[in-house]
Amino acid sequence: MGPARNMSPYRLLGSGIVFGLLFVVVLVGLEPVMRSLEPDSFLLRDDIKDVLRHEQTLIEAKGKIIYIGDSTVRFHSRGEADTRSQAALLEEFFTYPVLTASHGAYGAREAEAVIQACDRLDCRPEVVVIGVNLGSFSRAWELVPYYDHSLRRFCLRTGWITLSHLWSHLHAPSQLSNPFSWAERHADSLRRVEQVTRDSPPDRQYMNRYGGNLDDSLSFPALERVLKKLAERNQRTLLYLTPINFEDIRRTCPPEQIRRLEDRRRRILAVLESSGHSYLDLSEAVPNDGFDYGGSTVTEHLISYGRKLVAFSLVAKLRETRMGQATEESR
Amino acid sequence: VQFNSLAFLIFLPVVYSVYWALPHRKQNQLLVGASYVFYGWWDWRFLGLILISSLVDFVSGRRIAASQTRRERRAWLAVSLIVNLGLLGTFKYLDFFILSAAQALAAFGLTPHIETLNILLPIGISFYTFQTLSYTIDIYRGQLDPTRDATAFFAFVAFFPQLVAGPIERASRLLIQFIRPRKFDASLAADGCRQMLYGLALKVLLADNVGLVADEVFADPNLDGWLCLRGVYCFAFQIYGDFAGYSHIAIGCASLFGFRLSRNFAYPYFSTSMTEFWRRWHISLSTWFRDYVYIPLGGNRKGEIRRRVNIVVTFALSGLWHGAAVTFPVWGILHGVWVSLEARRPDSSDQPPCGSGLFPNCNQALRIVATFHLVCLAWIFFRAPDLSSASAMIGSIAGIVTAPSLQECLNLFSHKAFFLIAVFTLAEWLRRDRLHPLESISRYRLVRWLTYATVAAAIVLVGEPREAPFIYFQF
Repeated sequence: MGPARNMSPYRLLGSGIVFGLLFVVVLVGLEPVMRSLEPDSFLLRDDIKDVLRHEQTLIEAKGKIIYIGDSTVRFHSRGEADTRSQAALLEEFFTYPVLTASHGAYGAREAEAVIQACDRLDCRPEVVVIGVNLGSFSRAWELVPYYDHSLRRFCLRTGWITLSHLWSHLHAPSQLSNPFSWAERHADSLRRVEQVTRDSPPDRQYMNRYGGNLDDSLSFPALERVLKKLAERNQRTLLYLTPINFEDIRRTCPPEQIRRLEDRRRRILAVLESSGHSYLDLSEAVPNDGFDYGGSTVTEHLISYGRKLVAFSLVAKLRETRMGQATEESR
Repeated sequence: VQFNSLAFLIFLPVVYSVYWALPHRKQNQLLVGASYVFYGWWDWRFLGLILISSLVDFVSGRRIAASQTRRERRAWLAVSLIVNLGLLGTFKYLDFFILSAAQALAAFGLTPHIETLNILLPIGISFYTFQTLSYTIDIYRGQLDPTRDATAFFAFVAFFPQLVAGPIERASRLLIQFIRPRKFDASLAADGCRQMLYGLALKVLLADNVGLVADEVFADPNLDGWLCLRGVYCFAFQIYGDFAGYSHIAIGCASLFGFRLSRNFAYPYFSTSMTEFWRRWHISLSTWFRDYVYIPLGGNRKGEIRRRVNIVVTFALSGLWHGAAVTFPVWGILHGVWVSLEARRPDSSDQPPCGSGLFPNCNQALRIVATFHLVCLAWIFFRAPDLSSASAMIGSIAGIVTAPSLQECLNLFSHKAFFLIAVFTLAEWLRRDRLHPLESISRYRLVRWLTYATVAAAIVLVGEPREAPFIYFQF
């Protein structure tokens, strides 16, 4: 049993490589099995279920608005009487079919994967609306394990379920314990930055979202790629900066931190401006009482009032730029 | 570099290939270099700490052996202890002690303006510090001769498979392997591959999946009692899968280079007493504390009461070793009290738990369940962020007055986490007479390869791909 005692170390290495290659072949062979599972099968991971749902959405997207964004787009706050999501409100106010390809902790890299899936599935929505969260351009966001969507991204880009699993295992970077530089003054670890809650001091909470260096962010270049790709596709697009609680930030954070956040916003807006796509800056559109933090999370979700403010602004812009008119007229 | 990362998948074959092409001395040099790269990948600045520890203990060891007087020997041992425990204390406990002092002053109505230093904890510092300390202590006790081979010693301290989370090796076992020339042992290396595969399954398949449930529950300790209990069970298997997984990978990885590391886990959850549990759980740490804390305290040589006190003190220190928070010593004291209340029994950790029968007898089964639940009770303190959260959780669990319905039980076990717990528990029970369940599966190559492929496919397709660092990295 087992290898001969006189086997050389390189033969064992060779066996390992052969095993690895055969294993990839087995995974490829298992792809039809995974594809044949029901979309809600317990054997599929939630990320893959989301991808299959997104694929279906994109296939049905012709002549419709595709709304891409994070949890603020897809969900409503807990315990609210008005349970309409932001996407549902947009559809209602604009009287236009709106489909969402969203999930929690969405960033520009995920938006890029959706656009690549549009290419792969040959899908052409009438309008693409993309929410751009100022907080998503940060290593503290990108490297949080729960925010790592490498599996979804790979699967959306390639359509391979089994290989996406393999990729995500190999790719997911572990840098939670890495030192985290903030404002050239703090050195901390991402693990600690991740652990802030609503009970943490405000400046620490906002550091978690907006303190990272924009140039280190993987999402910032991804945003530029998304905009370029959309322009190449000649896709009618509306982008907007999602609301953040500027009122609270101005009240609680030191000036240096506010300056950094405003600098971050200015740079992202400059990128949107230079892309030639329509965009809105809604980062200050919602006052303090329009937000909901849903327990201990520090993410700025919106209550019904805040969601309506955003939906009204988007509808106004869509009407102003006559986006979605073709389908509206044809209906 | 994390074991479950692409970087390690490239790093390991490269180091392995070069290693076996080199002569003995150069192999050691390569291992020192590779280990520093492995560690420096995380943060190169902390390499300085390993270098300091290695250098101080290399010199101290030689000076202790060369000393003519007892006083001089003690002085050099003190140098080693002060430097190593000083580094550990500064980087791991200083903030904790500052905060504790501030809280203590606040209790007396004083509100001093005290700021913590917010020091980043260097990964693995508790492990390599203890490993290198054992070297100087053993020399001081006359149980070991110091080495003249600095490369071998530096490789011993920094050996990358076990650098960041053990097993904590003794110089008498590991250093000697660096000093002697190594020959490639194909069966050792092949079993190392199998052990790495099993370790990866424990980590990615079991620990990271059940960890999702545990994280959710421990984030809200005021949940319903049954949910809390579910979270505690999941954490018990998360920490086992995580740490035993790491140990299996470390031991398997070292085997590829011709090293035999100590066994660190021997199916602890099948233990029939707390004493047995500690002979099967984190064996390298419990034997370290036995040899360097419990026995010097007097062990069992000074009467029954003193023996029990020594056990509690040793476990309390072991708890503190795990982390700078008050919950860890509480966890340790609980274990210490339970172990001290048990009768002494001979060490049988090299035997499979509960013999080799297919089923345990009734007495064994009841004892396994009782021991497991005591361990789970202590895990609440280990995992909870503070004592009040732990108390709240215990309160929720204690408040369970109704038995779950059949449907609730079925719902519980249809959950992926519990399905995986059941599969791993069954596999480990059936293979508990082996060092790990993938050892010597079948004499038929096809069966073996199909088993490995199935485990690998399960890791990839069912494993939790979110990168969750090994829990013990933070200790």
